[in-house]
Amino acid sequence: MEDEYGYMEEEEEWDREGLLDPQWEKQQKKTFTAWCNSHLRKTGPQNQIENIEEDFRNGLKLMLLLEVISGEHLPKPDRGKMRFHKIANVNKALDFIASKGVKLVSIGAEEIVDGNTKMTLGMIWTIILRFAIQDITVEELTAKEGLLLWCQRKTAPYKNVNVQNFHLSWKDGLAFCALIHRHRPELLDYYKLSRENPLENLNTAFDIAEKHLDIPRMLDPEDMVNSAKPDERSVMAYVSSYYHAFSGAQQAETAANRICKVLKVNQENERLMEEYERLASDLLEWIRRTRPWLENRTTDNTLPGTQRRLEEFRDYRRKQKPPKLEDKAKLENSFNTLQTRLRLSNRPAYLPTEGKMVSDIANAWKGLETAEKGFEEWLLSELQRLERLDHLAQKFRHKCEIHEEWAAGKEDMLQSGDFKRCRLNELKAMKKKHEAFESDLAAHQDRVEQIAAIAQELNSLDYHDVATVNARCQKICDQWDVLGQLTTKRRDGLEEAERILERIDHLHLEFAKRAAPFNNWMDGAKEDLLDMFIVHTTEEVQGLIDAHEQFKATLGEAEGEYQTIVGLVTEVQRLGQQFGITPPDNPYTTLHAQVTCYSLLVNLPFLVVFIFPLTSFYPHFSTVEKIVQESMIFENRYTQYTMETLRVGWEQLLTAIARNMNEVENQILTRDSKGISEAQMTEFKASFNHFDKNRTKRLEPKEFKACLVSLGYKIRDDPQGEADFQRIMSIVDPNRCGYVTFDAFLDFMTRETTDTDTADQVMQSFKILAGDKPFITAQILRQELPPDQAEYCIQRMAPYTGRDAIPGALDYMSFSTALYGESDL
Amino acid sequence: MAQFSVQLHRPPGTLWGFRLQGGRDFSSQLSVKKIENGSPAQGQLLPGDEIIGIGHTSTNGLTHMEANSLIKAAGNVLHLTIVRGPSQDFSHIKPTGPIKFSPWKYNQQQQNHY
Repeated sequence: MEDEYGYMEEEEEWDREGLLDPQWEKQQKKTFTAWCNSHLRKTGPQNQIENIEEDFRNGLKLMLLLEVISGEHLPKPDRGKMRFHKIANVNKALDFIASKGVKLVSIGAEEIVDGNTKMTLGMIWTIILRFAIQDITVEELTAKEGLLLWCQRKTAPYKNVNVQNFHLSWKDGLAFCALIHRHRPELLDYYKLSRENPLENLNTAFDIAEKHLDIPRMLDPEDMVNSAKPDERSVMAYVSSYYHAFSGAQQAETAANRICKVLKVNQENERLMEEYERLASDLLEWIRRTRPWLENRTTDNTLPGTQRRLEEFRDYRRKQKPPKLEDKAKLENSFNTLQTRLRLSNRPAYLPTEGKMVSDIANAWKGLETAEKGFEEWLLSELQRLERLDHLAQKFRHKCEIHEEWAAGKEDMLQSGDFKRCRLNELKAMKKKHEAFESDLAAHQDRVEQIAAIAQELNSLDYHDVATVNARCQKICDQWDVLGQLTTKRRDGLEEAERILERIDHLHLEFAKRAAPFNNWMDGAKEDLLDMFIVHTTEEVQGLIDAHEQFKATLGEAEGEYQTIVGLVTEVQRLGQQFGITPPDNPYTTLHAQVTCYSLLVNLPFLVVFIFPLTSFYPHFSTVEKIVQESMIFENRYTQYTMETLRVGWEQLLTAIARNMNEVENQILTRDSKGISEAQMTEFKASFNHFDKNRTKRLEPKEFKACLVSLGYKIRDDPQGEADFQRIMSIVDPNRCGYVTFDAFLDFMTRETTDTDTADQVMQSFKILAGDKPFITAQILRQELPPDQAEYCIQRMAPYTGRDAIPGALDYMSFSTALYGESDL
Repeated sequence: MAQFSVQLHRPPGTLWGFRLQGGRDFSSQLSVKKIENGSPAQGQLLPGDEIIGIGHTSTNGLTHMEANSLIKAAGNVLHLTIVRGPSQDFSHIKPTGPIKFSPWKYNQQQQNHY
């Protein structure tokens, strides 16, 4: 019954024999026959029926039909031709139907065996309803309503189609066409159709369905158009075939998609694993190569050579290391992403090969950084040392230069015999000069000692050119010794010369003291002697002879005096000769002793003393000492430990940023995979943050515990509760880091929702493609999957060896579990 | 983590009833994925158990199929050395129903630094 709008009512029970419209009966006969044959033909064309009220009468084909559509086996039919055999067979069929939960009211095997059309049709309808329509589920509706909803959903885009029921809505054929076009648009040109041509529309739809969808014709277009209201059951039977064809295809598509997705995930995971292994190998290899270089502590002991090594190190830090740091971050992120993906698809965690574990990489990297730091420290201290050495060597050379300049010509000066040819006052001046020199020398002692000390230090610090240094130092020291000796010698010489000259001076003075009066006497005597005396008397002669005798008496004395004076001169000469000194002239007198002939009785030498004014001069030495205050404080231009801290800090920041981004990506991945909404995610984050008091993005165990309790977990305050909590901690913190990250927290909170058994899902998908069989063929795989995935499966699937195997059967079950590295034992 | 041996017995012609997963070729530890109810493995093995030895052979470095073959070759008496972590069953302390987030979270919106 329906109202004037043709809206749906509740399912009609089949036993409306009284109300069955003859026209409907006609339609139903045609339709149900076709429907039954669409199943029976699968067992062979000979099993099809022609006459629905006749061909089911012995129950055999009825049982066969039920076997085909259910996929199950019925009890063996009785092969006899007697009526009771037939009734028994029909009963077997009816029992089977009843066993499927259908209440068969007033249907009897006898009526069927007798060929009661209405009963037969009713029974067939029951079968159709139960096996083709009952199990349809679309959104929340089932069976007839579900089927109707399916039609409405699928034809919704077609404005000239309005499916409200299973009779009038289908009369103009557009609904059938729309269903076809919706799923297989290439099969007809929908928009050329019009409701003015119902016959054409219906024929088009039925033809296409038969040819391309393997749905035999079940409805008669003439009947559809001519009847005021087509038979609802017939339409439903036929439409249900469309449903199974298309949704079956849909299911297959979904199954194929799932398989592809899983394969893709697998292949992507394999790729990530390979990439991880490769990156790990490369990085470890690079570290292996680089460490010895950083541990090499040899230099050529020169400043430029060592500075070159510093430049090399700088280059390493600036150009070689950053890409490797990136690689390391990439490696970490790759590992985390991989583990997240595995965890989300319920696969076991990834275990890298030996030597490439995360800990191995971390240790190797740490070793590298330690070597790096050690190298830099060593290099800088080497540079310090070498700079200091260089500096010292400079200082050494400078001091040597100054000293050598000062010492130039001193040897010659000291060895000069000038003091042997000078006057006494000159000598005294020289002596004073020498004294001054001696002080100067003493002062320079210090300098020489410093030079020697520096040379010593250069030796002990292993300066590269100690040979030159030592040679120069030796030369200076040797010269110093010589200067010392020469100085002493000169002093001695000067002192001796002084003594002699003083003695000579004394002698000169004596001479002068004596020579003058003597000379006077002599002059007088000479005068007297040279005088012309006129003598008149003997007394005068006697007087003269007496005077002369007197004079002669004094001669002895004068002779003595003369000898003494001459002796003085001789002594001076002798002294000069003895000591190699050129005696100066007598400054006290111009007289000089000279030999006169005795005839005059006296021959007194005249000593002429020339007094040469000695102009002496002291060379004016101004020695300007360049005093170089050299700072002993070595400025450590190269040890920029603050730079070091910055650089390390920068590297850590870059790594942390990359890691952060990776964390966020993985969180999104996690959220999507677990089907957590953004709102829920926010709630989880808020809970976590509330207990993360010090904002470290980690929860300490007691914070985590408080969090769980606040979310309703019953963790008791006793040993049992503690044991429970420790179990939880071993799951959320398996590596015993001592803290719980947000990821681990989220994972734990949502673990129930993702407890899926994905190998089974894949198996299910294959089963759908295989048409519910326990094996699949290469043909189906190539039909349903993209070519490369199909070949992937075909290559890897083992042959199926069950009892019901056909040639070329492939075992998708073991393949599914093997995809996940799983097998059933 | 506790390590111990188990010995499984089965009637001839039956399966052990557990699913093996992992192996060197899958870059993961060999372990038990799930147990069929009523199988010989039930009660002896638990999901998550890591298999480190089959008979006298260590599983270190074995591929999945190698381990599989070893188990099959053991016949009807199977010795396994397993490592088992603590139980992951928290049904007695988990809250029932959907998670109730606490009301203080509304104050956290300003301080949400995550």
